[in-house]
Amino acid sequence: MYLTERSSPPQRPPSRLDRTDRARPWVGSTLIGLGLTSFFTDISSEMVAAVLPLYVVTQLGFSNVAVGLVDGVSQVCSALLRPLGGALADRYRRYKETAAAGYGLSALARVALATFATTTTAVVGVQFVDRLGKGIRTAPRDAAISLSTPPEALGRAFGLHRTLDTAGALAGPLLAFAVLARTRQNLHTVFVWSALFAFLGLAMLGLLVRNPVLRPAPAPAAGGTGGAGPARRVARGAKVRSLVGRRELAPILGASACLGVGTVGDAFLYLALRDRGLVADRWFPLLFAATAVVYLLLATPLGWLADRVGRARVLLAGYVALLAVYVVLAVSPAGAAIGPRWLIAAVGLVLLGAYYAATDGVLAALVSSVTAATERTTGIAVVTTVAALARFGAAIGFGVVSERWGYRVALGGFAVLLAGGLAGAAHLLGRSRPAPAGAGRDEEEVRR
Amino acid sequence: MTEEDEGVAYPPEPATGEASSSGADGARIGRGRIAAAFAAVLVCGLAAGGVLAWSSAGDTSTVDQDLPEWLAQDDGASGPTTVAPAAEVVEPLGGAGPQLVYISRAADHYGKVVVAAGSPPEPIPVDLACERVHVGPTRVLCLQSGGLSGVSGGVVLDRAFEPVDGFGLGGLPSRARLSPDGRMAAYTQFVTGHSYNGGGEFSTATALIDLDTGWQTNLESLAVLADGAPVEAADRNFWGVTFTADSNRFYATMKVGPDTFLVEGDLAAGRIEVLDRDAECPSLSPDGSQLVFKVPVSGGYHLVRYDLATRERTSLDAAGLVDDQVEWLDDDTIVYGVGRTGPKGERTADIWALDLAEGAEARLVVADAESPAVVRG
Repeated sequence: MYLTERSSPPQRPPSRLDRTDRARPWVGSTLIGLGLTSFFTDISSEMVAAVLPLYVVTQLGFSNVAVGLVDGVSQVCSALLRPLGGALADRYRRYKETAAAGYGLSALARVALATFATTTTAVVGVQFVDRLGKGIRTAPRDAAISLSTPPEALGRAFGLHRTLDTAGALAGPLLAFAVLARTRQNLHTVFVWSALFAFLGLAMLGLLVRNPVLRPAPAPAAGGTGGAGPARRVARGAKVRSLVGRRELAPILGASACLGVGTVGDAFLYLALRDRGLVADRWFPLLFAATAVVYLLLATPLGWLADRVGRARVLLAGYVALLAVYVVLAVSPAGAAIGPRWLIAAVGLVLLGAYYAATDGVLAALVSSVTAATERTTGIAVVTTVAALARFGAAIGFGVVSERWGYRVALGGFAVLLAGGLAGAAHLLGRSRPAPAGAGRDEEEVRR
Repeated sequence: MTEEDEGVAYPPEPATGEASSSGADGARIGRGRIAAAFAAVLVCGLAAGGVLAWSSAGDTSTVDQDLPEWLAQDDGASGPTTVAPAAEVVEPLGGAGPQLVYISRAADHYGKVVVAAGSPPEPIPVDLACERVHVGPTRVLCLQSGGLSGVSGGVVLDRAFEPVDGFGLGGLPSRARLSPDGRMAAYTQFVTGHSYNGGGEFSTATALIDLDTGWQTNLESLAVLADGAPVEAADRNFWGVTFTADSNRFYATMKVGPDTFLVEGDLAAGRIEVLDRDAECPSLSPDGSQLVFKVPVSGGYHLVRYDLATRERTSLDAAGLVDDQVEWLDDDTIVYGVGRTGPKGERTADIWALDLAEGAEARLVVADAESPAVVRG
């Protein structure tokens, strides 16, 4: 429980050089609460994701096309729904409630799975609803994290959140298989557990997280009356269109698109690892776990580093790591001995985990640091949606190319594409960044 | 709305109305809320524990064994009735008299292989867990699911259930088949992409292994001909292999796009030919003259008998809905597993037999069991 006495706030308007107050706590109950919410929710969803193939194959009857296609469609719908959730949260300053709607939708989907969804169509529908919930909640959650964290600690805060989130994603499949082993493969018990964890996540959100209420800065916007008036009164509806053209956000948006089109999803990279003969079939399911372990170990340190040396730098470095993964996989000799093979695979997985740790939370921190508080959710949502759509296009492209010409050609092509994207992104982000330190670029500057 | 719900502001200092930077919020979450959060964790934990205890409690419903008479032809001494370690299996496979090998889904030996033989038929559990099992006169092929580690694999055992070979699987075990002489093995797995960052694609992969020489191949790498013309489509999926007696030819299902085909492969010639449409998981009769395969109907699959000479199809409606690669007891009788959900939601199945003569009814052979495999005496 936090009862720390805070040092009195600086009386002058803070600047990015203001680093006097180093002892400020950056981990608050909202961050912990949202971290636990994500932890339990990820356990819930990854439990189901881990056993869903088993469920479909053993009990529902196998129909490959439907599952793959609907998954793609729901990813896109989820991405498109994000800005809507963002706009709602910004308009009414109800970050917690908007996020709760998303988490609640996913929890209801879990209950449906545990009670009546017993056909392939129903299961696919339930997963679709779950994805929609994910689409709604992501941006308001990240906005709530950023709004309850000191600007200079955004990288660390998002890093800590992603650590908890990934820990849940790692624990989920383990719990699911432990339950299956104890219950004679009772998938129903797994679904009930999943629903319980979903509700636990929702409970953490409801109990530990408080809506950040922004007190108006000496803002150009009129609504500010000083003091703590109801949040609603100072809310200004965030207009997605005006936001996109904003000087501070446009470069990040452009950079996200540049980087996204050169980004190959991890599923494809694991397949490439296997195709290149670097991992035996039997280890295939563990590749995700290995990457997740690296991700969760590095997320907070790299977030801290981003706070120190600049978020854009760490973000770009993350994509350099991804580029290195492509190169390592593409140039690895086909007939390597077992020792080098393991080494190459390990290097690839560590780089991939580092890529996630250096980009996912750091991007949210970067966007937060340049977006006005009133438009933060929308800003995060728009950027992540653009990135997701670019990645979706990239996945289709990579699938087609690798199917036709093999993984080596596809990896080489995407390495070139990503290198180009990196150059473009570095140019865009470099222009937007007045100072090397990404830290401390708070609202004041944005609004001046 | 309560005072507490108003939340805390970042920056939390009211003071001058400036956007001052200060520490993270968090000073004002009340003890009550933290206690409630702990209580929520406790309650959910207890509920989860309760559900787990309820659903893992041994279901004492007695194993309803109704082994068929054909198993009782041999009147040699019956073996021990306790769980025998692998080496102590009474009668090695391929001994005198027929044997039925299956995977138990009963509470006491869940997932374990059972060998039923002797007179009266005596089911003897073997200390070997499989998702799918098949037997030849000299070998056992067992596909195992990875469970916690997620690492699945296949094991080849000799007739005394001693492991002699193994291989890894990247997906979910699906079908296992040995050739009648036990030389060739075929296995099918479901391969899925991980859903972490998209993906989630579903496909099957089927491989053949020559257990005598170690040679192996993925069916997708063989050339496919339809009416003499090569099939170029790259998205070929194969599953459900069944071998001829000479271990050289086989029948299987091929899926290209939305269409499924019955194909016949020739290993010596290194090619696969398309025979017919709409057939999944064929199983060749001992005399090599007919197949039984499944065809999709609303709600599942029906079994169909297929005469290889005339290409005539006979629907086996008496079997009901079946999703399995059937096994032949003899040239007139098939056995197959029918999956169902147990009283507590656990995964289980029953083994049924059907006489192919017209008008015959399906009969329950072993309750709480699946993946039947037959060793003819």
